[in-house]
Amino acid sequence: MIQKNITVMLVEDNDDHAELVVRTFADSLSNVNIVRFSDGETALNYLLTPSDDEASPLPVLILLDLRLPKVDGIEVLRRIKDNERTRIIPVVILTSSASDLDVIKAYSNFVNSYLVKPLEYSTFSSLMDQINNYWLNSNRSPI
Amino acid sequence: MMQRLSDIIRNLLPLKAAFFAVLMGSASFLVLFLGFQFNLPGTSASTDPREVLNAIGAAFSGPAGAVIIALISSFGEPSANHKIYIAFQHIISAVWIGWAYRQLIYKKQKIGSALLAWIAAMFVYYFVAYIPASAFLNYYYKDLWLSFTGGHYTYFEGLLFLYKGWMPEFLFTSGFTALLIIALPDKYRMPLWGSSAGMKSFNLSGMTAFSMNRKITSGSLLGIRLTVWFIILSSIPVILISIYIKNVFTEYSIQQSAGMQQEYVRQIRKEIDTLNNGDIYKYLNSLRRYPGFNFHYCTGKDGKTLSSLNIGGPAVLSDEQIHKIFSQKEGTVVIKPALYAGAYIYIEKYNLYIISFSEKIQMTPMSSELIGSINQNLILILITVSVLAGIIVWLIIGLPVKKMTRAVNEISGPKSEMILDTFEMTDEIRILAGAFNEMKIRIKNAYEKLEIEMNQKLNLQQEIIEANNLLKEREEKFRLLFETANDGILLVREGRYFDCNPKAEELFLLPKSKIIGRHPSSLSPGILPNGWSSKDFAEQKIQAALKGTPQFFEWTHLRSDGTSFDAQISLNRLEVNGELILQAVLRDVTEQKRTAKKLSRNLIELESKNAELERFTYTVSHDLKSPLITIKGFIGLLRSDIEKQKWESTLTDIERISGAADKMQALLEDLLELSRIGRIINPNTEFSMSVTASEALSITQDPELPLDAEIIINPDMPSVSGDKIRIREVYQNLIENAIKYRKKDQKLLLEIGYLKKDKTDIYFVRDNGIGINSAYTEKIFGLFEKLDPKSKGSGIGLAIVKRIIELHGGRIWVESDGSDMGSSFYFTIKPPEEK
Repeated sequence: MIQKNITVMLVEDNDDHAELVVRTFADSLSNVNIVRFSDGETALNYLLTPSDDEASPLPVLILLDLRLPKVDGIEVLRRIKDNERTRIIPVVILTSSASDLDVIKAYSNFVNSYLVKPLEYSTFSSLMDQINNYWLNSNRSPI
Repeated sequence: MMQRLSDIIRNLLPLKAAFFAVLMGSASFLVLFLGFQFNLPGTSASTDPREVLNAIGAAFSGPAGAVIIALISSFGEPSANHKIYIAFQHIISAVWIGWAYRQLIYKKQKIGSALLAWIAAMFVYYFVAYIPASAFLNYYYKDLWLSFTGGHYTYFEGLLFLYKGWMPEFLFTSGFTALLIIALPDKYRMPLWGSSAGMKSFNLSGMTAFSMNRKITSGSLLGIRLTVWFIILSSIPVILISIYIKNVFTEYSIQQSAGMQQEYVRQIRKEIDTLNNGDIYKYLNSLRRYPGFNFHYCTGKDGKTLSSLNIGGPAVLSDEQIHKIFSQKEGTVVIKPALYAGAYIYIEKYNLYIISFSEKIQMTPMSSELIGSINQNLILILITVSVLAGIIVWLIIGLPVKKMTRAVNEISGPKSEMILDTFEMTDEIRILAGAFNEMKIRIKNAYEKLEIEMNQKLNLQQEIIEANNLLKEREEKFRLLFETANDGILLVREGRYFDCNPKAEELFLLPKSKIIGRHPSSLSPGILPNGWSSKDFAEQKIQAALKGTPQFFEWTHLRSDGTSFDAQISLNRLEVNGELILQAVLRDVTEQKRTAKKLSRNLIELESKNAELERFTYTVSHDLKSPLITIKGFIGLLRSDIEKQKWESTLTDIERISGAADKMQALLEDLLELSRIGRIINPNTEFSMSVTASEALSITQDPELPLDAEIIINPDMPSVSGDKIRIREVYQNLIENAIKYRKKDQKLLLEIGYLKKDKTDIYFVRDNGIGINSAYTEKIFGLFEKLDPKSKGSGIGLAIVKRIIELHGGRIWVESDGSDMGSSFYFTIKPPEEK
């Protein structure tokens, strides 16, 4: 098994949630490099500025919160899917909102998956495992 | 003035009245002048008919005519004194009778009372009107008075004497004139003076000519009138005969008297011849002393003596008679009409004329008796003949006419089948009856025809009336519909209004008269809200409607006071009497439109509120869930770490849990605060914005407030009405924000003030802080929205501010030129009256 460093982008304004994701995610894989952005603007800046820099590679997966300061999650999603280069990146919404409207809005903007942050830690942890398993192992990434 | 005067004269003395007066006055004058006298029938009193002429003349020609008659006739009087006196008394009497006839007699409806009134008037004419005239004579002309009254010196005695003498003449005159008035056909009885308006005279039958209520009389009216005419007409020869007989007897007496006087003067001459020279005048004077004996002498050619001879009463010698005396030596002379006979003789020796006159010649009793009896017989014959003639006329004409009248009366009903029996009729009356029968048949036929036509017409009329009533009823119905319609109804002909109902007047605030004649577009704004010109739009609609397509559209109309209203208009073509007119029905939909607008506004508001609520729930669920996730997550992590006996992150994890719990508490508190706004309302007060802003500043206990900050509050901000505590909270929030987002390397400048724009007060809080990206100027007012996730607070402050401002009917927004350029928060508060 080739161990390759994989970059996963996490866009999450809540530090606690970000920490929670990182720690539950890191539990299952050691070669995953999670890059975290606390708002949509900085995330987009990272994604949309073309760079061959090794230090800032395109992520294989974007974990995106919906409720973000400045530019909200749906807008970030729209712009990712609008961009030729970034639209191939699977985007998984990870939010506390279980609103149907948000689900529809997200899928309308070609989201790849929509997940609601569970309250229970065990569920949260197993969800993170599932993301890991599915998107990083089972799924064939274009990146 | 002149016009009125001439009107009075024309009324008082019309031309025909004047002519009649002159005629009668002249006749009277002639009668006097010619000494036309006759004995009153059955008496020895003699009279002349001038009073008849005077009375009749005055009666018909009126008071003014009466004066003319009296003046003319008095010229016939022999002496100047007589002229004045007779004129005076006749004027008084005639003016009376002239007035009285018209005013008191003519208008009487019954002939009997008319005649009684006439006789009464004549009595006044004779016996009352002369009282002042006689007084005048008694006072000024004593000699004349004495000669008239037969020597009665005092006024009353003289008057009584005169009245006794006048009685026969009064009876004759009033009787004769009364007969004359009866005899006159009705229409000739009318006075010739004064206005004829409303005059209605008496007539024989006591009925007016056109009385529909024809009473069948005995047919004797004609007989009576003819008898009267016979009497009047035959009295003329009787009077003439009477005058002739009297003249014959008078002439005889005169001749006899003159002969006696001649004998007398001849005897005197013989006596004179025997006398000496000196005794002649003594003798003559002794002769003159005999009373009742008119003896005069004068020297030859002494005309003066003769002309002044007072023979007795109004008797004087005329110039011709004096001339005749002086041209002859002997002869007789007669003074007429005073009737004195005299004789004269010339005595050469003394160059003297001796003249002697008899007493006034009187008829001998025998002659008087004879004349009287002749007159009586004549009168008797006259009356008998007249009555017989009347009866004959009645038999020949009156009776058949009566029969015919009765028959005509009976058959006069147009439906009567009867005709006159001409067998009973004679002469022209038979012809008349035949003609009448023919006329009757013709009338009957015409009547029947007319009746049929009338019936047809009546039926037609009835139908017309019924149709008319129906029409009226319908018209009334439609008129009511038109008048009471709750929509304005206007009728347009040739592009102009020509009728409208009261509702239209009410809509336009204009009276009908001001609406009629206008072009439908004239009561509209020049340009409609949809951009069309009113005239073009109206014209287009009118043309379309005239082609037969009913038009429905909305229109903005102007009232006379300049305000406008929205109307829903339907234009329909109507055809009235082949003419195309348009009916415009106007419905004022201003209220509906306003309601609809309000509804849609409410709907939009409701939708936005709904969206806001949804956002709120969503936000709340998300934001409240967020710390729960943290808490539960980290507890899970802790548990796992404890199981693994890993302790390095335990403390920070606990911190995170605690922090999340704190955050949640803060969130809940903020939510509670937000829900309080609008739920807990402080009483509305009026307060100064400047003071409120200052208070807000003073309670801002931000430890981060830099000491060098420059804060300017406009002290002249207006007062507003509202919830002062909440407004203070607004200022407090905005001030805190300004402090929070200041540039750390720069002195904080904060300006609180207001500006006026379009009469609206706009309050602002302006800072020189980090500013806001224009992309987020809306978002910052959202619930739990924070541009900087690291900044303190829950992000509810501006949501609260917005909520407060909106509850005050205002609006809040932020303007910023971008990052680092500072920001200005603006808000308005609705004035109290508009809330």
